[in-house]
Amino acid sequence: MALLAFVLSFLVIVANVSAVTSDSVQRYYYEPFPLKPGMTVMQVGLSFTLLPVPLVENEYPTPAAEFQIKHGLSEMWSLNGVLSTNIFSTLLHGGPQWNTAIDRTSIGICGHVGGFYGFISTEGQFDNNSAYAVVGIPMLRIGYRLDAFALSTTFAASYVFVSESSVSGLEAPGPMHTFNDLFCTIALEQPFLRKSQLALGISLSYARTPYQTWLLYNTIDQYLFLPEFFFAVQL
Amino acid sequence: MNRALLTIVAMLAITPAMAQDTTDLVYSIEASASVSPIVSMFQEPRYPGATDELSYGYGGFVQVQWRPGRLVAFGIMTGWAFLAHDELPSNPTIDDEGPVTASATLTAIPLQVFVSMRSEHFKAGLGMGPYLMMSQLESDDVSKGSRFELGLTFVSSYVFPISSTLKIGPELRVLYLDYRGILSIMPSVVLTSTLYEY
Amino acid sequence: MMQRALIILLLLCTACVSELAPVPELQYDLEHLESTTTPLTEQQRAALDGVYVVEQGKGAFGDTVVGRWINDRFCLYAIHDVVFAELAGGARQDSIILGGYYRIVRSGRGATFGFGMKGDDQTLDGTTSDGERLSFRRVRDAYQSPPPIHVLAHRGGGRNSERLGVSENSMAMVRYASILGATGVEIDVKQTRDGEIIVFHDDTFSPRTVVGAYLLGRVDAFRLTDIKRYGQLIHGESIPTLDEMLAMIVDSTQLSFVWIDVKDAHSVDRIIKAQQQASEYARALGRTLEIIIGIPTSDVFTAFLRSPQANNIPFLYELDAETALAYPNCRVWAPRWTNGIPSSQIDALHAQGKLVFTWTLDVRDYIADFLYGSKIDGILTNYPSLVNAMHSVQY
Repeated sequence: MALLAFVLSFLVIVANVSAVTSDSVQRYYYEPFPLKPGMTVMQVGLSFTLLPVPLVENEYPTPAAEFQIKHGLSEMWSLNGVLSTNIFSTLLHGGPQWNTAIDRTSIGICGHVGGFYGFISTEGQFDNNSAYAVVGIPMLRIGYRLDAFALSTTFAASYVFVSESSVSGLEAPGPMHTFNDLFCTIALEQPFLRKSQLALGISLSYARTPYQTWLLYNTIDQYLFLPEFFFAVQL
Repeated sequence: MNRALLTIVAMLAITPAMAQDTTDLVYSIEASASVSPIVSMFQEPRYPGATDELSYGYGGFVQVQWRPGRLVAFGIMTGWAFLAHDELPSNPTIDDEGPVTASATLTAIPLQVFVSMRSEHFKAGLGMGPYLMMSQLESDDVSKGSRFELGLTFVSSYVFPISSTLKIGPELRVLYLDYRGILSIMPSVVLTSTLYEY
Repeated sequence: MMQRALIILLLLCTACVSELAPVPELQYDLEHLESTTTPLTEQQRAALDGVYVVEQGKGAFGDTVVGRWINDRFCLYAIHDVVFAELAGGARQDSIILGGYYRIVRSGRGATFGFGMKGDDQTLDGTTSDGERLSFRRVRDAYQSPPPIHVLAHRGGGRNSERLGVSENSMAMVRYASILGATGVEIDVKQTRDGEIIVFHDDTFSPRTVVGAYLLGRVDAFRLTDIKRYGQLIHGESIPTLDEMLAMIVDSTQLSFVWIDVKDAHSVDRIIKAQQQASEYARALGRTLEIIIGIPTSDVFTAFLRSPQANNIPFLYELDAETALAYPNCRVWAPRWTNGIPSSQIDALHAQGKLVFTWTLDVRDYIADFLYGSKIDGILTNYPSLVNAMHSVQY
């Protein structure tokens, strides 16, 4: 219910903000304003995901380093990519995004394909434990641009085509042909220090098997809530 | 608990605010200090057999923030909040002076990153990070426990300048410890000072 | 306006801590059903034990279930997922009547249901409270390995505790472990500030395990009286001492194995004393019960070896197999399952008459690898019903 209120509030705000002159110079990653062909936006950042207490038995804000890139292919199309890693778990996905804008409002629709890989080997604890998954991530992005900043919301889901874990030569399949995650990401992007841009936001997700917890071999058959706070700076 | 929180959020929303573009690029370091009474709501009984969900206390908080001339300001926040105190009969311990009571206190020290936005007089912000929760149990002996737990601190204030660098005004602060099931409301007075500008 | 709206949106991102969904309350008066039926004879009970093919009711129970009498309860365990049922009943005229409930543990669903078996028919027929028809046909006896495999319930009962309204490491949970298919339990112990030993897993008191705003932080910061006065386990039980727990296990359960997982090196002497007292009590009552001190770290092992009783007390060792082989009173070697199947070490330990367990194994496919692909003697799990059933359906 909080998520619905969240989204409705955002839409009401977007509809009610007074018009001021637009600024077409700023280019942001999350906001799906069409990029000029050949233009590239790259940013690096950090995220902290609060893992579900039923899995990790404590409040653990798990960090991950993130790299995002968006490259303008044509007036309406861009190519996006995301790399997120905390050494033990790595997520890499990308794909084309269709972008359009009406005045200050922009909409983007994209379909990412990618994969997850995890590996750990510690003597006496984890002997060559690994896991992988191949996923598809459809996304809808809605953005609104003001002079001082841009606000955007992204709705996404991850569909697991195949996944498997391996323990010292033993193998077991993981979730397959199923939706594993649902995300709603709110991002605020603004010029920051001198000429750099800053992205700040929160991602709310529901996951059946959070990829960050793969080495806990979760067996709970329930979608669990994971909030994530992130920030990133454009390169 | 979440309904109470949303009600408070709506109350924060009623405070007037004007959207202004921050086109000036003056950087500044700002500090704020506030003191307040505290009303706390506990989702679970504070001890076995406790029936009262509310407790009363007091606290003070300090924030230092860097405003880079744009919308968002960053800083750190700390302080001290006395959240709860209870006395229990320490049955069957009785010393020469009669029955001994056991007392327990709960305090919280925020050590948080603070992000805020300001437009003219109105400021709203969010503190994220750990609280150091501390308890002290006293009867014929003293036991002390402490633990870091994550919390959110919502702050909304409306200040008036009283000098070129000082501002004062009312502030509403809400502490939310979801894991422990504590919601604390702190109506306070805040004093803000611009320490340095460049 | 925009800034304030943004703050509101951020504020709405609350309820950060995820919780498991509550499970339905399954009210079934098992005692009432017992009182309205005639108790079954041992032969009738033995005839009900066995492997059943599920002809109706596959949605909840899969294709195959195992039925077992545990004390006065008839329990059913599925093999396709973590599903267990607890039933009571007896004979009524020429039929056997059973009633109770089932739980699908991983998702928290469940329902009540009733069964009947007429005369010499080998089929249990019934209906659930959701209106689903059930029909289970007995096909053969359950497999029992010689010697029997140890199915150990983690933290007194495993993650079932979060679904059943019973707390982990509580006496109520351990009393219930047999119904869940466990033949033994693993319990964790910590030392309080005044040297008492309580059954508790974590290093600190937190909202995950206890209710009580003042009981927070390190366990060894508090005396036992503080702990009893200011806190309870999350489902309202008192936090038990090790002595209380072991006495209850001897008196009120039929469990055959207790693994005491020692968390604090400086508590070893006190735990050894509790283990000795409980073992003597069990022997006096004629109970077949092994109470083993679990050694998870080298610090605890060093403290254990310093004890004057070290050579006499059976222990379980979690680290390397070589050390387990080197000590005659090491009863069990228990490596973590994520190290894989240690086939050659299992043979070496068996040659010395020792047991090999693994922990804490919950993934079905990996349970199958260990059960069917190794000579493991015991599995510590959060899903004892699944391990019990998967072991029992072997030919």
